[in-house]
Amino acid sequence: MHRSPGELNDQIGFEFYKRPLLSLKRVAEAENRQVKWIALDAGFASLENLKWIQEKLGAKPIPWPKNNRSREMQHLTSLLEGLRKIFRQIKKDHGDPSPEGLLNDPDYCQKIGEIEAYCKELLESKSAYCQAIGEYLLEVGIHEWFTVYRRRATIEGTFGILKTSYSLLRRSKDQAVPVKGKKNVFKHSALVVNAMQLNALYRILMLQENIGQLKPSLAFGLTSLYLDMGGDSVLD
Amino acid sequence: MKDWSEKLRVRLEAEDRGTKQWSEFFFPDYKAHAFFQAILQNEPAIDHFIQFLIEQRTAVKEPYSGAFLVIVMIFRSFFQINHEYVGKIIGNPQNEILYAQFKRLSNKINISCSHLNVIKRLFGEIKDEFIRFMIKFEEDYISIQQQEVPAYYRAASLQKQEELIPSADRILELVPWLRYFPWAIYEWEDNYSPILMHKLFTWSRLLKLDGCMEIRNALHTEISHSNTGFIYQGQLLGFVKNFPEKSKLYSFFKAMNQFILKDAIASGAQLLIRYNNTEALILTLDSTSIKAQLDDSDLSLGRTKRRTKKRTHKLHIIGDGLGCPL
Repeated sequence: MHRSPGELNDQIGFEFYKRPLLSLKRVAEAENRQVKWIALDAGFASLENLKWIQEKLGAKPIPWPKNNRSREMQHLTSLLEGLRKIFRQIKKDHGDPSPEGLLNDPDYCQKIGEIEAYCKELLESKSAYCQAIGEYLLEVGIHEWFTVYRRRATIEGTFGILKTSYSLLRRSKDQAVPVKGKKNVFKHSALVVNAMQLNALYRILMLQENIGQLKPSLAFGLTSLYLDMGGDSVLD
Repeated sequence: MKDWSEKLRVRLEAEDRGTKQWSEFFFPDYKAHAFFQAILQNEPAIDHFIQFLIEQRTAVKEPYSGAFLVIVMIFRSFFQINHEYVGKIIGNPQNEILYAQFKRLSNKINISCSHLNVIKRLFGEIKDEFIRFMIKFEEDYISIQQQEVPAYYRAASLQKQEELIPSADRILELVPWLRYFPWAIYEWEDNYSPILMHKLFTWSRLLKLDGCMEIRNALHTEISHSNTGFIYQGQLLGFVKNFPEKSKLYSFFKAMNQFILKDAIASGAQLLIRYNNTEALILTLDSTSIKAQLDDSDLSLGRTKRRTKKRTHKLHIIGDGLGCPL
C-alpha cells in the first residue's frame, strides 16, 4: 500500500498521542468540559484510529478521508474540496459566515446534498474503508463535519509561530534547530513550547482579569502529575 | 528556603487545627498533604530546571534560546502584576523614576504594539536603564532581606503593610502558574520576603539579560496573535520517543505543559466553541517537520557533508481549534 512519508509518520505518531489524549480528556472532564471533536488530517484517518477515538475518548473524530485507497475516495475528497471552494467564496464575498449562515447559501446546501448522496453510494462499496467513511460522514452530518474540520487549519499557525517567532528554528538559510544533539534539541524545543504556552496562558489571564472573571483553577490532575513527576508515568 | 520543610510542617499542623484558609484556597479537594509531600520530594527537579535555564543560556550562543524566552515570559508576567507594588515598596526616588519609566514603556507598548519598529526602538532606548533598574532592585531587596526588620516596615503600621503588599492569594489569583513554584509563595506569605523576585533577578544577572531580540520576538508574537488566544499541548513526541534520558527534567517539562493546559481549560472561555448551543472542546492533531542535527557524533567524523547534514524529524502537536471563530 502506498503511503506518503507524512502519512506514515502520522500513523506512527498516533500511538504517542494516545496517552496525552487520555490525559487531556481527564483534565477536561475535571473541569466539566467535554472533548467533543478531534480533527485529523488524512494521515491519521485510519479506521483503527477513528475507532480508538470513538471508544476511548468518547469524542467524534472529524477526519479528512484518505484519498489514496480507491477512486471512490478520490471522488469523495474532490467533492469535499468543492465544498471548501464554495466556503472560500462565501467568505470572500460576505466575510466569515456562521454555521447557520452557511446553511442559507444555496450552493453550499446543494454541495452538501451531493456529498450526502455520494456517501450513501459508498455504503454499497466493496471497500470496507469506503463503507465505513461513508457511514461515518452520514452519521456526523456533512455540515457538522465541515464546520469543525475547517478549524483544523489553526494548528498550522501554531507551527509557524513556533518556528519563527519563538525561534524553534534558526533564521538562517538552513532553517534548522539552532542546537545540536538529541538532548539539546529536545530541551530547546520543550522550552520553546513552554514559553509559548506561558504566553498564551498569560494572555488569557490578563483578558480574564480585564473582564473580572478570573477563576482560580485548582483541581484534578495536579496531585497525580506531581506525584508521578519522577517517573515515566506522568500521563498515565 | 532553609526552613521550608519546617514551615510546611507548621502549616499542616495549623491546618489540622482548623485553620484551613491556605489549603482551602489551594486544594479544595483536600489533597494538600499528598501534594506538598510530592513537591518536597521533587524540589530537586525544580532546582534542576532553574540550573538548566542558566546553563542553556551559556550553551546556546545565539540570541534565540528557548530558555531565554521562558525567562522573558516570567519577567513580563512579573512586572505586569507587580507594577504598583514595585513602585511603592522600594521607596527610593531613583528607583521610582526608573520604575515610572518602565511603566510608561509598558503602557506605551500596550498602546502602540502594532508597530514592531516602535517596539524595537523603544527597547533599544531603555535597554540599559532596564538592566540597571533590575540590578538595583535586586540589591535593594537583598539589603531588605539582610535587615531583620526593614526600616520601611518599621515605619508603616501593620495595616499599612497589608494595604501595600499583595497577599499570596492575590498574587496567585493573578498568576496561577506561580503555583508551580510554591516555595516562593510560601516565602511571600510568611514574611514578605521577596524570594521569588530575588530569584528572578538573580537569574536575570546570571543569564546576562543583554539582548532585546527575545523580548521583541515575544512581543511581536503577542502583537500578531493577540486575538487568537490558542493554547496547545506540545508533547514533542518525535523526540520523546528517542529521548535517551527520561529524567526528572523531562518529567518537569511534561508536568509544566499539563499544568498550563489545565489552567487554560479551567479558566479559558476562549477554549470553548459553541455548536448547536453546546460548549465543547475541539482538539486538533497534526505533525510538522523540523530539521535538526540529533547526533553529536556527526561532528567528529570530519567529513563536511556528514558534518553539516541535518535530518528531518517530526514534531507532533495537539492543539485546540481556536483562532478561527465559527
